[in-house]
Amino acid sequence: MKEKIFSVLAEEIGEFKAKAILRGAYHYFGIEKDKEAEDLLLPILERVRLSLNGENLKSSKVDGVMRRLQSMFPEVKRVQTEEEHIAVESEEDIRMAQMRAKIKAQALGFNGLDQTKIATTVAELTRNIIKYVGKGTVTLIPLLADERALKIVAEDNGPGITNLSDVLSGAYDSKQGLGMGLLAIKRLMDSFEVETNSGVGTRIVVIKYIK
Amino acid sequence: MKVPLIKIGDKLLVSIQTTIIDSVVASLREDITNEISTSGVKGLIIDLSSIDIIDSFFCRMINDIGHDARILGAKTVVVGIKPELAITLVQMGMEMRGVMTSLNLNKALEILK
Repeated sequence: MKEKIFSVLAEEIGEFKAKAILRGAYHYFGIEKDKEAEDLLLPILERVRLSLNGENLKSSKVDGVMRRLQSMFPEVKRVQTEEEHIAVESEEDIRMAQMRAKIKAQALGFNGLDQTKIATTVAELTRNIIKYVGKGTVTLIPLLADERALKIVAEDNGPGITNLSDVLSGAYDSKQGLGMGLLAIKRLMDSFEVETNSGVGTRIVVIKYIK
Repeated sequence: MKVPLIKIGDKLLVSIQTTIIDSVVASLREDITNEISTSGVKGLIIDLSSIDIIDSFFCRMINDIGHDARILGAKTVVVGIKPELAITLVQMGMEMRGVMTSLNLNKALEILK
């Protein structure tokens, strides 16, 4: 996988830069030298794209390189249709989850602004899980009916949100910021639902449609 | 992971490269306040041009750092926020209070002159 990515990059932007960018991407995820990390293909490609953007290339050039890279890996297609289950257990998972959400949104055809809104929402959701419960899951579900959309489900078995209506009306101003985070998610998404039961857990379901 | 602080004249430049996790925030605030109080810099520049996502937690951290700096007599300018992040922050209802913002480093240096 590394070799494949490298050969395309080297052809497009020269061996020297290709090596630097690829090393940077692998280093970012803490992957050891000589490891391939197939499961991180998409996050790695996303890092490569960000580095290419920082190289002062034309955006059409970057898009071209990325299309070439994506066409080499059939698993990129799968991202558009498959559900993705992300376990959230540590602070590091926040970064990983928001990146995966961004990649999924991009693959589904969301524009740059909506990709950012989706990634921000996932960052808020995962941050809440880590902060208030410690662990949970976030699931990214592509909806491929007439109206294409991305559904995001965040679930945990925590204590539940006891003052939900205060939080959502903005009356409750948490020092740590739960209120702000949930309100922010509501404003960024097209649909927003919370199910919360004291002592049982919380399930937040949001949907963003492609415009 | 430590965030590097770079001193330029009487200004301090902090370039945040990736999403910050809770455990780093406390030490970052400590490092910045220490640097301001020991070296007496008058301006703090926070460069966010490598940042792709700003969530409410991150925004609050920036506000807190700006607040710390102000109490210690330094002005804070945040630079390099991407346009899509600006729109997202506004829609979320988040504000960057207590810090100034500018498009790039040059303009930030002008503001702090």
